[in-house]
Amino acid sequence: MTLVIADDSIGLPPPPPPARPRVLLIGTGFALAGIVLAFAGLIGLYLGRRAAALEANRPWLPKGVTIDLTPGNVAMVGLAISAVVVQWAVYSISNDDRPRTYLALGLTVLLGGAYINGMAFNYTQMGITVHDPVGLLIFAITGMHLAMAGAGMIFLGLMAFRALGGQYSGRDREGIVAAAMYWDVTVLVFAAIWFTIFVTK
Amino acid sequence: MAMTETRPEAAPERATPHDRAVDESAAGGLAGILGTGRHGAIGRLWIGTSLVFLVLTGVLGGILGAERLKPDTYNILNQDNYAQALSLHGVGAVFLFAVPILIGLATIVVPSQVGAESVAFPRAAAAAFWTYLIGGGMVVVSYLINGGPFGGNDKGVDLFLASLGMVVVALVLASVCLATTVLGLRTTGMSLARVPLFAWSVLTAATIWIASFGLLFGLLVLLYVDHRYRLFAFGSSNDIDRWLRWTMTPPQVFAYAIPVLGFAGDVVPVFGRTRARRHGLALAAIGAFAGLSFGAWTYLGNNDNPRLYQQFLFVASAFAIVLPVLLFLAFFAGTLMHGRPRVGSPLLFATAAVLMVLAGVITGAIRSVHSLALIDTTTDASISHYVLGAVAITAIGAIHYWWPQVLTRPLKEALGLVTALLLLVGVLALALPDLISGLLYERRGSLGAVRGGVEALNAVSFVGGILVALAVVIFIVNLAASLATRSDEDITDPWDGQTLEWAADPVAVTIGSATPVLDAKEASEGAMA
Repeated sequence: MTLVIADDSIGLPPPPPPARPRVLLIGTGFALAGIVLAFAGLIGLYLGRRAAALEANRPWLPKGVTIDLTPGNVAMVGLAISAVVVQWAVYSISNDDRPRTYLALGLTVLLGGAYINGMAFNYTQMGITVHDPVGLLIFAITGMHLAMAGAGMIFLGLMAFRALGGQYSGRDREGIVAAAMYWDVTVLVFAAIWFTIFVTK
Repeated sequence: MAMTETRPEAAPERATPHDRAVDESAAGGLAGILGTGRHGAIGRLWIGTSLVFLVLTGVLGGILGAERLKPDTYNILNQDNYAQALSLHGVGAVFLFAVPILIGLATIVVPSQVGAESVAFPRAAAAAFWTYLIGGGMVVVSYLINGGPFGGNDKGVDLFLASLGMVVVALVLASVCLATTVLGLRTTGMSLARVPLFAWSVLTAATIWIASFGLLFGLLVLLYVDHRYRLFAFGSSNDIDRWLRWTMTPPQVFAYAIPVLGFAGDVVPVFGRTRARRHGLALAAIGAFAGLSFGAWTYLGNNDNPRLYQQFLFVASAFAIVLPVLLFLAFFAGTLMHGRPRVGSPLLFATAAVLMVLAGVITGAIRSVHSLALIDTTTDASISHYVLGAVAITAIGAIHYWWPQVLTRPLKEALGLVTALLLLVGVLALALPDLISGLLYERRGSLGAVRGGVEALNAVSFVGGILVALAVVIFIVNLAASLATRSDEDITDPWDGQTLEWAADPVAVTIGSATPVLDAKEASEGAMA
């Protein structure tokens, strides 16, 4: 508590502005709603077309295409770990533990990079091309998710730099929480993709 | 006398995004426009650009209407460019005019209505406008180079899909800014239950737009990749229109009319010279209307799942959406009946717009009756004309209503009344004949032999279009006259408005827990006295 001497001629500083709800968090939530619907539409289309092919006794995956479960599992596990790590960043900034905040954000971005690298390798192994309908759907869905993950990494990096600049602390951690929320939804969307494309194929 | 006191916690010294945006937009001229982050300036840019697109789609509508005067042959256009013109007419009306003009109005009014300094994320709001401008321009160019749906130029079709994707991203971004403004930047004491109806309608509309346009964006990405690699697994350029049709038919088309109810809800107590009766009922009606207008779940109806239109959920929702509109009308009429109504152009605009929405939802319910086989007939056009007509009436009415906040003087009231009447009659004449033609099984999208009477109905529809065009011309003349006139007298609140945007300083208002929301302006005046 700071004590100061004041008299009639000394004006007190203005009161703080009214507490605002977390604007960045709300905005991120709305943006995520749109993104989730974009994936919902595409995954719905994928499932619908696959169901129609199976109902007509037509093979769904083109000849020569194999979608191994292992690379998908590796990507899923990596992203699941990153979802926990990003919450570590939130926990650390809540406790004003900046070094661990940077470490956790850095690890999350690293795991995101590993996921992108893994998916790029996976593309070379699956044997799909964009020139058949199934490949087109898979590339559109996973490609959009790679873009979402890339945007998430930029978001996390930006918030890390802001934290480095002293903008965020235990009292104001909105940016880190918003980036973590974005990343967690990125992981959840991949979980839906993993189940649809890699598990049930 | 000296005393010891604990210093209150000081306000944070960092500037808000709004402050920074305002500071940086201090530059004048083109640099000032390009760099502006002020919500008023951004809103005016949205409105100005969307009015240009309104003229474009209106001219196209006139050509299409003239072509339908003799529906058995093509006289002005040929079969291909008739389909392209019809497609641009629809895409332009929804994505380049209706949603953008409502976003523009909301960007100007909503921050003041909720007592915020600015729209949330002002730079994102500005980026959304410029993305829309560039994307919208490229959409038009894509049609001009024989692209777009039904286009023969593959690169033009690619350009259409990419540029429409840009427009959709811009609309989502602007919607995020508006929804966040209402949800996160309301002044102290203004709970969601007390928020003005226009701001509430913008929150619900923005939420529905974000969700449905998000899905549309995913679809456009898929169509773009499909078309870009010439696979055509989802159809050629002739099929793109079918993939987009859910955005222009019920229930999704009603999502563009959500702010219509909000505007009417704010206007009616002002012109009824009373307090709003059952504010909660109006909030619930607008919320239910918004929820039922979410149409992204019908996106496969014209392609992979045509049976969707026969399913119970589709039919039930088509009928259910009539109920919130009737509830809103009960609120509207109840407020007027308990007051001392006076005639004013905003009230006439609001009444006309709500009636058009009611006509639209009733036509939508009739359309959903499977045995009538109205889907893909001109009934679709009838509903679109009712709803988008309601949006146009609201947009022009809202400009009349809020114009004094822009130029500190109202538009000419007599011209406003004439505009409102012409729009009411014009939209009705434009839309109603299409419902009857639909009952006579006239298909939409192409011309050919028609049943007797359709020619006469098309003529009535054409006259309706001319009346709408005349109304728009009168409105533009009224606007231009106001801009050209100089007046020393400031009239900032000619209607005696009740919501916060009419207060001298909306940002300074704190609404006490016992103060009804519609007394917010008076609360601010009391605080200043």
